Amino acid sequence: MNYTPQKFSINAKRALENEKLRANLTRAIKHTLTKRTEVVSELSNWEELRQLAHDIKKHTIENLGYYLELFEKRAIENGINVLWAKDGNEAREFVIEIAKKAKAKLCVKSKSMVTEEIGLREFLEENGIETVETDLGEFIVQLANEMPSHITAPAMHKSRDEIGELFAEKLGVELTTEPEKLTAIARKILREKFLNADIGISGANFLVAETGSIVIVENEGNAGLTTTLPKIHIAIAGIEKVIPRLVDLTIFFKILGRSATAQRFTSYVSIINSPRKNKPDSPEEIYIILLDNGRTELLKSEKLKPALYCIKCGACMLACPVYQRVGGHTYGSIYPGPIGSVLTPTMFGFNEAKVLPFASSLCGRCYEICPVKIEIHHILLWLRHEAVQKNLTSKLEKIVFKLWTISMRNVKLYELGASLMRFVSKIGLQPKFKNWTKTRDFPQLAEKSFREIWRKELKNDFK
Amino acid sequence: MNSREQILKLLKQHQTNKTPLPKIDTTALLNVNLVEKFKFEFERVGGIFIKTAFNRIFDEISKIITTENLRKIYAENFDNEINAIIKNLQVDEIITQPHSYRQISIVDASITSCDFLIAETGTIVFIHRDEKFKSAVLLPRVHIIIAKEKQIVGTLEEVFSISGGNFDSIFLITGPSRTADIEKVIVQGVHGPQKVYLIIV
Amino acid sequence: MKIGLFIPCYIDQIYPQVGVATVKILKKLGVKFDYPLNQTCCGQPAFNTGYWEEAKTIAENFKNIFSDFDYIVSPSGSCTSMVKNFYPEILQDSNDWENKTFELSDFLVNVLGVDSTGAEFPHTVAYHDSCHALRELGIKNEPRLLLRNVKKLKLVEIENSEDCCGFGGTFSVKFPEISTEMVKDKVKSIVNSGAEFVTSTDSSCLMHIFGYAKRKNFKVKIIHIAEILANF
Repeated sequence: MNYTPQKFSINAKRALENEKLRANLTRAIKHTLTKRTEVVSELSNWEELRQLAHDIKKHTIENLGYYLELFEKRAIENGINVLWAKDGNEAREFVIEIAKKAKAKLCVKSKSMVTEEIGLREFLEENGIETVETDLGEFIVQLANEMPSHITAPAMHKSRDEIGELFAEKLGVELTTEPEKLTAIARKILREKFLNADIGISGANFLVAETGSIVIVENEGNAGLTTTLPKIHIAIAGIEKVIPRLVDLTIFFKILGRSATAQRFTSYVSIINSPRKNKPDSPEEIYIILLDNGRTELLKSEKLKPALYCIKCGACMLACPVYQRVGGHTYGSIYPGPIGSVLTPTMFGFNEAKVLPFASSLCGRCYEICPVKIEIHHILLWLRHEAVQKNLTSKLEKIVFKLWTISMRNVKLYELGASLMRFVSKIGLQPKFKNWTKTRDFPQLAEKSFREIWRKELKNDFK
Repeated sequence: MNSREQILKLLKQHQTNKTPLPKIDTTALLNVNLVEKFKFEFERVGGIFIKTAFNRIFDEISKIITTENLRKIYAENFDNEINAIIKNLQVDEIITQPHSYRQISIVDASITSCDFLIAETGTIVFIHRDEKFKSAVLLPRVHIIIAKEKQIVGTLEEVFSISGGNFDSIFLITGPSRTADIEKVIVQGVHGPQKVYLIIV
Repeated sequence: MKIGLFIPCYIDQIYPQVGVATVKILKKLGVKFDYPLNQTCCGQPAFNTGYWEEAKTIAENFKNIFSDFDYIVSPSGSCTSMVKNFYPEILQDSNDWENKTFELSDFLVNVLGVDSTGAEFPHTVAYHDSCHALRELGIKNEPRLLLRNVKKLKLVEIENSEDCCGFGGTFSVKFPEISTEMVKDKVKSIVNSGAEFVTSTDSSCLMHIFGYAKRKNFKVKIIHIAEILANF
C-alpha cells in the first residue's frame, strides 16, 4: 500500500471504481449516522453542549501552557512520570528507553491516533519488541498491514468476508465470516498477549489538569486491560488533550460517544490518577508523554488554532460527502476527511498535502456535525489561501485568476468579455472544459444578459 | 533548552486568555425515579438488572450460575453475610484470595461490589483506592455486581463531587464489552465481559 | 431605505430570467430599489480557490458600488454568503456587510414580512437546499414557506435534501469524478421524489444538477425560486 496525500486524486478515482469498498463504506456510514441522529436528537440541549465544549476547549487552548504545567504538577504528585516530546522521534526514544530498561519483549497497545501519528508500533517492532494492537479494528488493520481508514472505526472499509479471509490467512484459523466468531478468535489470541505483556501503551482522550488524571474512553475493554495488567503503562497524548476540570468530562462524555460511535455512553471509561505499588494488579509505573509534533505550529496561527479543539471523534469524516465516497485511505494520512485535510498539511508538510484543502465542496457538513464546533470548512478556505501564498498552485490557475480579476474589476471589460464569449460560442469555438463536460453539460450564455434586459426593458419602469 | 521548556515558552508567548472558562451547571436528575431510570438505561445498554431482597441473593446468583453454566468463580471480599452466601454457591471452585490476575483470567465469572450506580446513563462506578483487583471487572466472561439501592446517584457530576480527586483510578462500566468493528454488527464480550449482571438489594 | 439589487455575474450572463423574476417580485411588492449597472461579481470564485488578494480587488469594486445602500438583495445564497460572511474578513472596512446583505427569500420573509407573492405554479416542485443558503446563512424555512403559499404548487421533499449537489465551484473541475458521484446521487433523489421541477435559492446548484441530468437524459427541470415566485 502506498497511499500518500499527493496521490489523492488517483486514489479517489480508484476508490470510486471499487464497488466493494463503496458498499462497505456506505453500509458503515449510513448505520452510524442514522444511529447518531437518534441519540443526538433525544438531547434537548445538544447545541448548548456543543457550545460549552467549544468554550472549554477554546479557553484551555488559549491558556495551554498554564494547564499543562498544572497537569504536570498534579500528575507528578500522584506518582506519574511526565515526559515532554517535541516530535515523534523524541517520543519514540522515550518509549524505547523505558522498554529497554524494563527488558520488555511484548507490548500491548490500545487504540491511539497519536501513536499512529508517530509510527510507534512499527518503531518498536523494528527494535525487536513485539507490539500488538488490541482494539479489534486496529488488530484487523495491523494484520492486513494497512492504515486505519477512520479514526474511531479503523476497519470500516472492510467487509466480514474480507476480515474472515484475512484471519484464515494470517492466523491460520478456520475460515469464518461471522462477526461473533471472528471476535472470539481475536479475544483468545489477544487475551494471551494481555496476560504476558510487559508494557501497556495507550493514548488519552483527555488529561485533567486539576487532578492530573489520564482519561481513556473505549468500548471493548482493551484499554482497561492495557492500563491494568502490565507492570508499566505508557500513555502518549497530544498537548491539546488537557482540560481544566474533572467536571468538564461530563460535557465531553455526552458529546464524544454520540459523535464517535453513536452511543449515549461508551462501555468503558478509565480515569487513571496514579500507579499502585504492591497492589494485586495495576501498573507500578505510569508514564505520560506529552507530545507536540507540530501542534504548537497550529497554535501560533489564529486561523488554525481551533483545529486543536478536535476531540478526534471522526464525525466530520462520516458526514463529509467526499469521505463518504472515497473512504479514509484515499487521503493518504492517518487523519483523513475534513479535519484531516486541516491537520495533515499543517502538521506533516504543506507541500505534500497541498491538494487536501481543495478536496472539499465546502458544503459545511463537517462544521454542522462537529461536537466542538470547529469551523472546519472555513479553515479549509484559509488553507487554500495559504497554498496560494506559498506558491503551491499551478501557473495556469494563477494566470486564469489574474485575467479574471482584471475583467471583473472593470465593468467595461466584463461586458466586453461576455460579448466575446457569446461571439465565440456562436461560431462554435467555445472552449471545452473537459473536466466539466466529460460527465455534465455546460449551459450556453443567454442570448441577452440581465443587464441588457434591464437597460432596454426594465429600467424605465423604475424611473 | 529542553523540549519541555521550549514547548512551554512558546505556549506562554501565545497565551491570550480571552475566553473565560464556562461554569458548568449541575444537572441533577429532577422528578425522576432513580431506580427506574437506572434500570431503563442499564438494560438499554445490554445489562441484566435484578432487584431482589437480601435473602434471595443466593437464589439469584444460583440462577445465573445455571444459565451461564459457571464452573469457576472469583468473588471479592464482601461483608460476612454475603461472604457466607457466596461460600455456599454450587460451583467447582470459588477463588476469593487470588495471588495474581492470572487466576482471575481463568474463572468464568467474577462477583464484585461497586461504588456507585449512575441513573442518567446506567453506568456502574468503581473507584480504586484499596487492595481490590481492578481486572476482576474485565477478565471473566460474566461479571456479577452486588449493590445496594442507596448507591444509585443521578449523574456523573455527583460522583465527582463526592469522590473529589482522591482515588488511584475510576473505572466506569456501561454495559458489557462491545465492538462494532466488523460491519457495524454489535458483538458483546470482546475483551471484557459478555454479560453484566447487577443484583440490587 | 436604499435597497441595492445584486445580480451575480453568472445569473447576469447565463440565467438572466432569474434577475428579471427578482425585479418582478420586488416591483409587485412595491419595493423601491436600484440596480447599479457597474456591478460584476462578488469575488467568490477567487476567494474559494485561495486567491484572496484577487478576491479583495473584486470586493473593493463591489464596495464602491454598494457601500451606500442600506440593504443589498441578491437571488443567490452563495454570493450573499460571500458578501455577508467573508467581506468583513477580507475588506476589514466599516460596512456592516453582515447585517445588510440578504438572499432574496430571506429578505422577503424576514425583512419585508412577506409570506406569499401571490404567484401560481401548478406543478410538483422539490426544493433543494443549497449548502451556502442552508449552512452559511441558516435559510431553511423561508423558501419553503414562500413555496407552500404559491397557488396550486405541490411541494415535495427530496431524500437527503441537505446533501451537497457536488458543485462547490472549482471543486467540480478539480475533482470531477467525486463531484459527478455527488450530483448523481442528488439527481437520483430528485427523480425519486416525483417532482417535475427542482428549485433552489441558487442557480449554481441547479446548473450542476441540470448539467448531469441532461447528459444522462433524466427528465429533471430546473427553475430558480424567484421564477416560481414571480409567476403571477
